[in-house]
Amino acid sequence: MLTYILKRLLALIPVLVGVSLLVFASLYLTPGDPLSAVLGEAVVSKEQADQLRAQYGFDDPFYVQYARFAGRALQGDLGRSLRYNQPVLTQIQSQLPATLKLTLAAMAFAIVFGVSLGVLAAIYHNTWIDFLAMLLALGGISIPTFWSGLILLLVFSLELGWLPATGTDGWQRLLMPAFALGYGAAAIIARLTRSSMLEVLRQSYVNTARAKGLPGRTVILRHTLKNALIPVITMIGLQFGNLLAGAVVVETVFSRQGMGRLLVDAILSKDFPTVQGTVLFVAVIYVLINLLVDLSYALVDPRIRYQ
Amino acid sequence: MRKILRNGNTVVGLVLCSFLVVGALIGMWYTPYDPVAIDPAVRLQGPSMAHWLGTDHFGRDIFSRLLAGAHLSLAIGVISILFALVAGFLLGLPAGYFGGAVDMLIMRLMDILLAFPSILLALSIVALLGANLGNVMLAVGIASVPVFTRMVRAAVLSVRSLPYIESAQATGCHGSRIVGWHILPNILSPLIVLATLNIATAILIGSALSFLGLGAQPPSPEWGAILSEARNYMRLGWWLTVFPGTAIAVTVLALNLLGDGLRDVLDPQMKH
Repeated sequence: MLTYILKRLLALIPVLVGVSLLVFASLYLTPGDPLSAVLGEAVVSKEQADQLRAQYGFDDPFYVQYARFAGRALQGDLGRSLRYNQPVLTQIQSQLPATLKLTLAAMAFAIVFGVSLGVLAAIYHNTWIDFLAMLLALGGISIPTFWSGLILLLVFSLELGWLPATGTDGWQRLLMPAFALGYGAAAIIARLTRSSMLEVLRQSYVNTARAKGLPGRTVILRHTLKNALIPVITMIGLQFGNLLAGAVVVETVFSRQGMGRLLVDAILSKDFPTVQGTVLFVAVIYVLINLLVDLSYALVDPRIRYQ
Repeated sequence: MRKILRNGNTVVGLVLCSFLVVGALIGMWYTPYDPVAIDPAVRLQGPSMAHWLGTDHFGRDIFSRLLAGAHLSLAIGVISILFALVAGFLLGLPAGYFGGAVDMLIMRLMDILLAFPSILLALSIVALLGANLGNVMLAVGIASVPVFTRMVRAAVLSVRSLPYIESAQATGCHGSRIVGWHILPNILSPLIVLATLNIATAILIGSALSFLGLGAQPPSPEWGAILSEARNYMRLGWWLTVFPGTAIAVTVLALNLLGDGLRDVLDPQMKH
């Protein structure tokens, strides 16, 4: 097990190097001078441009610039925001808690709703309950997150006045964004839970448990659910990363503070250092989450441990 | 064909997609009202006989805008996935067929691209290239390349080791002939299924980018852009948000049903 963990950690290094290289190199993929991407819409004289080019090191060879960028990033220096003139990491640190709160709330909703729906659909397979559950799941993967957010705002804030429309603080302001963000993930989890449960229910040991006269609830909870949830746990882990990225849209819909708003505002205001730093930060988190999911799979499934 | 038509999901998906395509084609040439013309006299009117889906804050007919924007929203999905399909084929085929260093290099590059969540990658590309519809198509396409590359590679690997490929090689068949005659026909089915399902995802990501103001710009009738504009006026009319969002949801639903159905018929193994 320890060897497996070490191998996965070592395999992570080239991916992280590649991610940082791609984020850094993106400056050079833009049409025109890299300095124009950094300056945004600021107008400077030729002398100032030459000075800034030397200051940012754009005159140095590519590999020297990358080494400088990577070295700074490893020390937590992700550059300086052009718009707010403060370290990008400071901005991320101030916005991250709100995004994490939203993502965790969405994940909690997705797990409870998705697993329950999937289990019900499997137990009542080929009945109207199964049909309704899968219809709800199909809706979840088809309805755009931003639209479900807008509809929730329309109904619960503007028409009924039950919940506040915008803002970040308080659990009431978390309900609608968490539902909008988590519904899609819940749908994916429901579909996977259903198919996984159906597969396990077909196993001969489940028939044996039923033949022994065990109550239905015991068969489901003790003999079926635990095994059926193994692939679902992996999917839940992967969905966490997607929820983190999906928060971009939801935070904009509900005017919530967070990493998503930070990134979108940076893109619209052409604050390239903030875009670069935020993308790198989220990508590294996503890679680490995927690694944890891989490792947890070996922990959760005893068959893989024994292999 | 009969198997396809016997599958309920496929039939519903096919019918819905057909309506959408016909609507998109009609919308390119004819709409009841000019989709971009402003008419303050009829602004923010609800659904009526004159304006079936109501009018927006500029007095523009919403039905006309949805009809005119249908081809834009569908194009985001189709063009970006076509790009991803071609790129995925050009990268996945040599990776799977030749293996070795070529395979390792291509798959490590795909691992790096997969390290970014799709919407984040698409956002980053649009941030670099600029906010317009063309760049959204390119961004979504690039974000989808790894999925297709992996699929093509896996499909080629599974077919490459079969005895009839070995026989073809033994009889002196040129590599391109082996690829064109023996490998390609056997990987088409999973590719069609994947493409259909990913067009749906591409439309979702593309409309999300337009909603954020990073895709189609006003007064474009692209559906995500319509919703973005409607956001500031939704308290004045429920129809401003309900109908454009329904259009996107129905389109994505149709494609998901079609993709699910095709998968059940063409490639049942993919389900597992």
